[in-house]
Amino acid sequence: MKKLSDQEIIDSIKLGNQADFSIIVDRYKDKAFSLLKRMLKNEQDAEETLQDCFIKAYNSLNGFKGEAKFSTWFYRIVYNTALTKLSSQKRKTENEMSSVHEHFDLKSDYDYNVSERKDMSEFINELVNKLPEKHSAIISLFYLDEMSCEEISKALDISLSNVKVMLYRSRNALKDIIIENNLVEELI
Amino acid sequence: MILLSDEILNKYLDGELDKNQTAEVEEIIINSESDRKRFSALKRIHKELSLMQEDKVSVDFTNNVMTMLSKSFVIPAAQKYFIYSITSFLILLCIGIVVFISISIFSSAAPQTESLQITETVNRFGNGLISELKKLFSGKNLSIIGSVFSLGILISGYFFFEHQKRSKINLGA
Repeated sequence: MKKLSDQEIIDSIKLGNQADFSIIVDRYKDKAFSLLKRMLKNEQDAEETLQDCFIKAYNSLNGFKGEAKFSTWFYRIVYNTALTKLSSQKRKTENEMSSVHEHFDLKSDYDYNVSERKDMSEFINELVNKLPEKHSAIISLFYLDEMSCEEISKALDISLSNVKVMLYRSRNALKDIIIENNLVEELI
Repeated sequence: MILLSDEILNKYLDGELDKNQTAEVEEIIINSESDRKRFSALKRIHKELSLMQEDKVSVDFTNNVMTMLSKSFVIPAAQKYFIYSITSFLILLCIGIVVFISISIFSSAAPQTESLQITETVNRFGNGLISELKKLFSGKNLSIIGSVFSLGILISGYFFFEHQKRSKINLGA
């Protein structure tokens, strides 16, 4: 069976087949949830915010002209909604000011106890969750959604060079923890 | 000889270096144990991140979203009919008032004989209009007009409140 493209589904919704929006929801819910969970650091908030994002996207569908990919357009809604949520909750005031120049220290945030060694993928996942929201958003989009740096730049409205800086900085922070804890051999 | 910074290592990993730079980096990695260790760690991180699994939303998430959306379709439709009926009523009421005034004015200002001059007709029309407006905005009529406007304000207030409530629900605030 032919898989409908996002544009075909959106055209159908615009013609009045509102139920087709469920295909879009099914297609993007897990990826967008992963992004939101890493940004908001809270599962329940992430799911509630994701509902808002889909409702916003539905209500704004007429404004989507298909000039960019739907995923790029939708992730921009998700990203901006997450930033608004973080800002309104004033949960992490200092993170509102986060930018490409933000310095973070994963090493001080994370104490890897040898006696409590877990599965490596879980360990990496926990480290990613410790990253500042913009950095973890970029990691999520790059690795989970397999978006290119150019696409991420468009979706998040951040310059390409800054996307790369944040991607490299995140990887390097993870790499340094691996080296510092002598986990290179174990990982290799 | 290039300095094997973290940035260069990341670019090498992503295949963003040109042929010469790539060859140089490969040579450094072969000859330097510490750089080899750095690159191995970075490569492994890249691989682990590539294997990251998506988080899953609750099973009934799609149904919940579609239910919320269907509610947002139904409420405006019902409200739309209500708005149309109220607006129609108010428009009809206004038309009725205008027709009533016009009939009253023309019945009082209509020329009795053909010898009456146009200016006299205009004067009478003016006087009629003033007296009708006086009648309309005095005593019992004023109360009726006041009531109609109050009703209009109340209805507007209701819709404003409903709109605010719906916006809050939609934004999850």
